[in-house]
Amino acid sequence: MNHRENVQGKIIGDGNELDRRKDLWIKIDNAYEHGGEDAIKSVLIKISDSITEEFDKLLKQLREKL
Amino acid sequence: MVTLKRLKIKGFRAYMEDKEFIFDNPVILLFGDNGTGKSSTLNAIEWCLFGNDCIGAKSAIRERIDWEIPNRNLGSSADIYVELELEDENTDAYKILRRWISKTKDELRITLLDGQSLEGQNAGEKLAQLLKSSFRDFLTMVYQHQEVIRAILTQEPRERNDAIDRLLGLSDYRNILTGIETGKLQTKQKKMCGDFDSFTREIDVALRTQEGNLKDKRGKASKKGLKENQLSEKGALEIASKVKGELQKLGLESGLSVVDLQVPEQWTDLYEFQEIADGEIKRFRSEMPDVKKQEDLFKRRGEITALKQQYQQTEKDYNRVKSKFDVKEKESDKLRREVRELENKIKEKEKQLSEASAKGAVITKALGYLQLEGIDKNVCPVCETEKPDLLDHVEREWTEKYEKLVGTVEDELDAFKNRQNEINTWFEEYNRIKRSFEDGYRRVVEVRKEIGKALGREITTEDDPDVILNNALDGVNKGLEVLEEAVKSKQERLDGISSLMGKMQLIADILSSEEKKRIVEQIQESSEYLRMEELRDEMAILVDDVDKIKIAISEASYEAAEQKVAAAGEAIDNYFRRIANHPAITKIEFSVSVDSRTARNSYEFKDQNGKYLTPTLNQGGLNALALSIFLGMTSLKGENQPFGFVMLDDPSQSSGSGYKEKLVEVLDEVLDKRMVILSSTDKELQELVLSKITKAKTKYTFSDWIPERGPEVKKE
Repeated sequence: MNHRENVQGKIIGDGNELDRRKDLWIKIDNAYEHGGEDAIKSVLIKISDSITEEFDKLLKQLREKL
Repeated sequence: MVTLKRLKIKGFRAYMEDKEFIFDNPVILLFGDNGTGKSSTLNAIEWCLFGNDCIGAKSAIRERIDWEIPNRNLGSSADIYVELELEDENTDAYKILRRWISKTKDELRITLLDGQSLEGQNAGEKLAQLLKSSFRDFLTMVYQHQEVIRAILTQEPRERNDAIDRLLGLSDYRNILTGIETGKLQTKQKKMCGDFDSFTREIDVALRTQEGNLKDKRGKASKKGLKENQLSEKGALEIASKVKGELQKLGLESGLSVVDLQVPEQWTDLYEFQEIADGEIKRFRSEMPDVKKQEDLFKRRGEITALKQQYQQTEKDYNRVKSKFDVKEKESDKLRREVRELENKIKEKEKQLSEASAKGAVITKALGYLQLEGIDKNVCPVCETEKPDLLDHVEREWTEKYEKLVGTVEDELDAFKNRQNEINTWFEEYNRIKRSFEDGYRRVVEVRKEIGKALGREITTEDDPDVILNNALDGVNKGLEVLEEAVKSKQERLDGISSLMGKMQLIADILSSEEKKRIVEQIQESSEYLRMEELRDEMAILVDDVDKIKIAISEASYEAAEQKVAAAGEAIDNYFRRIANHPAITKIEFSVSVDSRTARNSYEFKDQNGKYLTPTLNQGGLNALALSIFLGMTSLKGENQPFGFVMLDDPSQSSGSGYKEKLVEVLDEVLDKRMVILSSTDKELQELVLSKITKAKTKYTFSDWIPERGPEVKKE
């Protein structure tokens, strides 16, 4: 069993939560396979930025209203 | 797992001409004295696979900080390269060619089995896929570099655990954890939560501020007599209507036009209405006819008052200078007469003096003559009659009578002249006062004319301008009195309208604050705010998911490490006891646990009594332990060991024969799983390898290294 399967087997969660975490793990591992640690960082930054950028935009809009 | 098939080197470090090495047997022995190029051969393999990662500060090997790749005896345009043929576990062959361009640049080309070539970044990516390891991994799994291996035993726990993870082929887990941590998701989450909480507090503050404003304004409205039911749009517009009505009425009464003031339909337009109404009020205050009349009368009063002050001052100045002049005038006749007398007296005295001077001139000459040498002093120079003591007599008469007389006349003359000067000075002053008097009179006449012009009548010398001016002033003041009442009442009406405007503005402000408060209240119910909450929760979920993945990685890594430690531990223990033959150490316990702080594997080496090994070992013991760990780890099979070979560079340095024999025994076992490339200067070790190792060997002998050619290498 390679590290991907080893880790996948250890991920805990219920139903959708588990599927979601496994998907994320595969994304992380794929990134690692293609580009090492830096690629993992890039993937996580991309995912988190999609959240934070929308958040910051909304915050700015609401602050202007305030 | 990749294995080596062929190596070609040109211009790299010790090498000048190109040399080729075939890896056609399980044991490849590179034998020769120091400085003949053996280490350069091993380094060439490193550099071909990892490029600049294996030189300079990046390598983390001190001796490589100033490493040079090109052979120093080559010209600047020489071709410098290393070519390596590899074979993977599917026996697919790859040719890797790395060509040196400069200190910071090289060219990489990979030729695949089907003949396709990859260059540059594509080649780099393919190589990374093939090797699945970093240079650091290579050093700990393949190339037994003393400095790196020693680090396993003597470095800080983090570096040691890192190196052992690599040796066990578990670097993927560690690398992935590191990669995840560099994403710094928790930091981002913390910032998001902080921003969200901060914004929620801002909403709260804004709400309280608006509530405070409203309370304050309602209080003011109440003090102004506004009822609760008036504090509405309807209330405000009603007042606006009243304002318009009042202005129109006042305008009609005063004969002033009123601008077409439209009462707005919404309270939001009241500010504009107010601006226009304010302008009208201001205009009314200044343009009302009674106000204009009042202004004119004020101006008139000012003029009359100024004329009065001017007249009074002019009269005062004139009277003052007249009284001075009158005094002088009285004295002037007397002084004129005196002046005439003095002139006569002065004439007379001057005549006396002139006569005396003429006489004096004669006497002086006669004296001069008589005083000459050889002249008879007793004979008169004029009539030549003898006069005894004539000179003495003349001198006496001159001194006693003449000089005295002249002195008296001169004194009297001076006195008369002084008095004459005094009187002249007096007359200068008299003339000055006279001129002032005449100027003063002229000014009085001018002021009277001005008064006459201002009042529209002639002011004669028989008129009293002061009284006339007072009368005029009284008339103006009476007029002002009459106007004051009228103006006051109109101003009061305008004040009333302003007061209404004030109430209207206050209501508009209250409505504005209520609107702002509504907006603030609605923010927390808005879709944007709710979406922000969702995003915050999404981030929390992401961080939690990543944390769970990290735990899974840590657990998987630990499980794998446990298995390998169990497998390699025996080999390490076996190799160490055989190579080191340490009397006090009968067993090595190699164990792993999870570091609760870092979630990474933590490894320990202890003796049979549970004591840590490294503090008790000498240099030879540490070398033996390092080699045992290296060989014990490399003896592990599995997909996480990407390299099918190990490289040992002078493993027997400073060791005795017993050590070398044991080492060779151990190598023979390692050869079951890996190709061994062994570089050595040690003849004894070489003999042992050739005679004791049961696998086939290829020997390359290095000799006669010269600058023009590089090493002489013979294959046996």
